[in-house]
Amino acid sequence: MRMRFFVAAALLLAAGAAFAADSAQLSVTVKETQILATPSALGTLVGVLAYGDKVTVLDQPASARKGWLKVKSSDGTLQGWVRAGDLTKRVVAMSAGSQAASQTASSGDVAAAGKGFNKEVEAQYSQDQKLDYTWVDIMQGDKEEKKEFKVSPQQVAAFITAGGLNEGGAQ
Amino acid sequence: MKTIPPALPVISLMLILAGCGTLDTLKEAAAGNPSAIAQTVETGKQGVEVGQKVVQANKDFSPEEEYYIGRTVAATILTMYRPWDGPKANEYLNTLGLSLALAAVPPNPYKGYHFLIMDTDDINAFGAPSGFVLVSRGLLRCASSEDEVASILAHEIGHVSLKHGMSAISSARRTDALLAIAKFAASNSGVGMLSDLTASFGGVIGDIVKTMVSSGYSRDQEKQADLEAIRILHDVGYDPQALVRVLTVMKTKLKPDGKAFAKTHPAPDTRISYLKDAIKAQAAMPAASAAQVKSRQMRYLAALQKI
Repeated sequence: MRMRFFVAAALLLAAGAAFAADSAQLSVTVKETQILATPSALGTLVGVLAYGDKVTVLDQPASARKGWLKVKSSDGTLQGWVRAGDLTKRVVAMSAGSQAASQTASSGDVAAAGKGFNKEVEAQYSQDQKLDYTWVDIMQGDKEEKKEFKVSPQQVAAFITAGGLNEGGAQ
Repeated sequence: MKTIPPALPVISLMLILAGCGTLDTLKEAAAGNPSAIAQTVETGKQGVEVGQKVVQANKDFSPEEEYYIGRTVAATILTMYRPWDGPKANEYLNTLGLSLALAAVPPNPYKGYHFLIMDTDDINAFGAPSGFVLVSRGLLRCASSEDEVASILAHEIGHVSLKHGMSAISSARRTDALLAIAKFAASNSGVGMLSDLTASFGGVIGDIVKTMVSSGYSRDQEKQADLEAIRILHDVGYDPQALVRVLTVMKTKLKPDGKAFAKTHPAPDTRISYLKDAIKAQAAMPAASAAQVKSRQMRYLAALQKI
């Protein structure tokens, strides 16, 4: 009996440790992502996280929807729902010069961040090869006059509903 | 990029799917490179310090670096194919594509997925790194419903999310590039190093464009992208059979002497065959209501009827 208890306790501890490690910290892997009050593109905006920001995953309530995670920002000021696909377990070096980078990253990380293939390399390559990026900028929605490439999460949500589709896959 | 033969009609229908094989390969590359790089550098001037930087910060290209790679791959392909400036069609493609991307294998690209139509009768499509998806008018004409357009986009999203473009970078090129990045990061000024870094960047772009435009992804990667496409379609609520229908139409439109396509892709019949088996294995899905089907068809026709 006692032996069994210890085994069970050990299993529980191991499970708890695995959960803790698993839920420890995730990094934002996209340029920026929104924290929303509810797990929906239509949820109220709580705040915005930037590339490289760290978040802690909170216990997932019953209202959790596939594709969303309830998180808390590393400084504890923001709490809400983020698209799971915008987060990664991998440690992402922050862009050099970003406020978050100067506050929280080690100097080594900051030195390395943003010094690889970046805007300057693209500019140099563009000049060497006479390569035009105009339509790449357009397709990623960076040109104000080309609204067709600036599709909002709300437009996508409406499109999904009207077509009888599942957001982020079946629940 | 000028060394790439312009616009080989690699009718690539690089239809999509995700696979463990590729992910494993990537993991291996990520795990294997740092030590190899560190060894190489050890005897060099900056030695251990640079090696450590590689290990710590650059085990692989960062999502931000992949974004700059994807931008340049897309810009290069757009020197071979002109963009199609149709606002309604492009807006529809982006809305549909983003709806599908919500079910893609994570993580999401640095600035998300983006879709653009190429102005060519060639049957072709490209899923460039970091979510830059280009689809030809010729390929869109192989579809006659929203579900079928979705099957084309889902295949490309598969190539992107499974990082097939990034896997086209040769290991020597990858090592060289990560080393150039590490040296640059370790230097205080970086003066004089931009040209080295830009040369490495050009090599990486060359590998990816050559694979995407001329030699094609592996047959296994095409199958992975196909299987990922029907997984996405099923999860989002589109008919996975739509991909089979597109391939059937494509078969009648492909020229028998389409050398590049024949060389780089499994025959449509082969793909249809494994897709039928895979679709049979999927769970039954609730049928869309008549109103929903009509809504999809109306918006599809409004956007792409004249493509």
